[in-house]
Amino acid sequence: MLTLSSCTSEQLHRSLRDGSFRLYLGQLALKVSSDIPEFIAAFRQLYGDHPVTLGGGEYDFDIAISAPALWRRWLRRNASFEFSGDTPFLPMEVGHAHALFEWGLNWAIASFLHHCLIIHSAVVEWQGKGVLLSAVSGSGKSTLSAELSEQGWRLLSDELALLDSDLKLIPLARPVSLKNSSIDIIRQRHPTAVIGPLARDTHKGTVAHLKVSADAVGRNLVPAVPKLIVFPKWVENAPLRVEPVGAGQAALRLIDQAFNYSILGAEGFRRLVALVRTTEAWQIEYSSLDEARDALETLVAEHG
Amino acid sequence: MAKSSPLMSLLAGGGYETFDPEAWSLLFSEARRAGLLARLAASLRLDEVGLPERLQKQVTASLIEAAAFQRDVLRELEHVQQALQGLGVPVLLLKGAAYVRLNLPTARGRIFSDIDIVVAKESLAQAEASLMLGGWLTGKLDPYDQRYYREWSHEVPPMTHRRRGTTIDLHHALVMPTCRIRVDSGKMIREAVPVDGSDFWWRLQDEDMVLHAASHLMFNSEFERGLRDIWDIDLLFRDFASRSASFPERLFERAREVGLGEVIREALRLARALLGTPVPENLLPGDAKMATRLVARAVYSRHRQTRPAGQWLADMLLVSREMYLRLPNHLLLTHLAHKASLGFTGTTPHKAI
Repeated sequence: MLTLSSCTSEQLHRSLRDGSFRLYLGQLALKVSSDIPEFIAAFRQLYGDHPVTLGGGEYDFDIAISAPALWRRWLRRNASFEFSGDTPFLPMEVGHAHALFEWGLNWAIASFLHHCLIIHSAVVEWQGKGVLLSAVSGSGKSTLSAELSEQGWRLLSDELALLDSDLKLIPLARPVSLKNSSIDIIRQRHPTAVIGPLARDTHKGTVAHLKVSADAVGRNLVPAVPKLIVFPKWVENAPLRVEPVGAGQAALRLIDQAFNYSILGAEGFRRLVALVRTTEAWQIEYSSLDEARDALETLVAEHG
Repeated sequence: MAKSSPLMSLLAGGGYETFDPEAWSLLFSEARRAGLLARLAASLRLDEVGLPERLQKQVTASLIEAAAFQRDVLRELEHVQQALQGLGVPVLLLKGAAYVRLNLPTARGRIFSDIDIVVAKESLAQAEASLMLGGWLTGKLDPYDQRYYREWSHEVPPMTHRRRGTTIDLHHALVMPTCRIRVDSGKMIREAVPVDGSDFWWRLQDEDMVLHAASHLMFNSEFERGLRDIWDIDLLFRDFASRSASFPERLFERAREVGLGEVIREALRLARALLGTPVPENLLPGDAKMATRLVARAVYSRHRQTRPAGQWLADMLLVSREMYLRLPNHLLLTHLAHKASLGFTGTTPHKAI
């Protein structure tokens, strides 16, 4: 299949303008439209390995990154996230358009894909075993998943775990969102990593995106089987601590991080109970990414 | 340049045989834009339509959401009942919450934000106090808005539950008391009937439910949900007419009685034009008025790819018309002057993602 990086610039611009562009994100097909050069450049860099088509056809989500309506234009140039022609968020400056796309897409997934239980969690896979890394914002979840993905783990998602009715994890490999100091950490540890433009002074501070491996993108249609639930927490200078978490406790912590648990009702409960019964849950506290990765690989080998 | 709209074509009774996967996708996108995806999903006979697989999943997802919504509304109504039962006054359910409680076809896949209830004006203060005890609080309003609500509007400011985040609109009348059209909404409220199997909830009569939906559509300028409102009218009309053959006549007669004769004619003309509502020709002859044609334009698909040309102009004209209809001249001038002194602010979307 055609990948984004193999389209010519002219093809891409035309297709993003005339509504015929489709991006395939695992099971999802996105109609993406844009005429904002800053967005298109970042999009091309970060989604280079993703499959695309330029001939129209069916889609799940209708997304445009576009110039806002006239009465919302200010002195600086802004970009809007449009979803089905509606603008659910305030516009942001064009330099943040690629971050806006990622946030908007997270919102769309969490708001609409209720055939899955959606949990705020990274999902990775090691030796064929799916691992949920669930943590509140600021626990270093994205940094850890970026590190693992650069070390050969398969990344399924850095933000959203989608658990379908067969208890499979639906992959959504796409750029990993790095914030503030983690951008430099990943850049120093992995000088060859492709990191997109910095979006400074967003409501989450400075944000940049790590392109995920072509291998992870290539396996975006292959679901993973969850084997481990890990609650990671980065604590400065802390020695490594790895502790088991009971199934009940794990379930409660996941409910807390689930976006649509109440919408799924009884089915959400059933799915979550099945998940914690078929996996083991652990929490790890760490200050070193190397130690954290070692610990996770050991956990997968011994308990996955 | 507007493409033809699969949503409007389907609503008007057109087939989907000619839809290719892209047209289906556009239909879903339009429906999402109009807040109608769940209702569309609920009304498609999936085994027959040959939907692309990925859109089947979207249907499943939106039906799950709609079911959760109905569950939540029914639960919320129990909370409201608990809070107000002690007052011993009839509580009238309106619009969405009434459709859900009565399990009407209109409730299927209908997503709405507020629960609308009416109590008699003399019980209003007590009801408000009881709801506050139950955890519903009025958000902070500036003194002008407080006064606008309390003196000129027909509701107390929306009350939001401090834990569940649900919103109740507590009214004491159906239509603005200061409206230019003389509507005997008191009669509609006085002649409300108890909800079957409940000793607490009341509902409008069938005819009045349609009339209320119609006046909501014709007096408001909430075009974002206009198509849903017309679809409501269509579904209510079809449902009641299927239960009693004389319903259409009674509806028009009742409309004359309460002063909504013209409103129901225009609303049903619109519903007939856009959704093929089966209104007998002898009851509804002739052409739509200019204002109705504007409404037709405003409530048509609002999706970027399929909206009609000049929709923005229709919107603007209708907003001015709504203001004119709602408020007498001296209030209108005061209101406009106050809002102008604040500077024009459009609708504000969320900031955080």
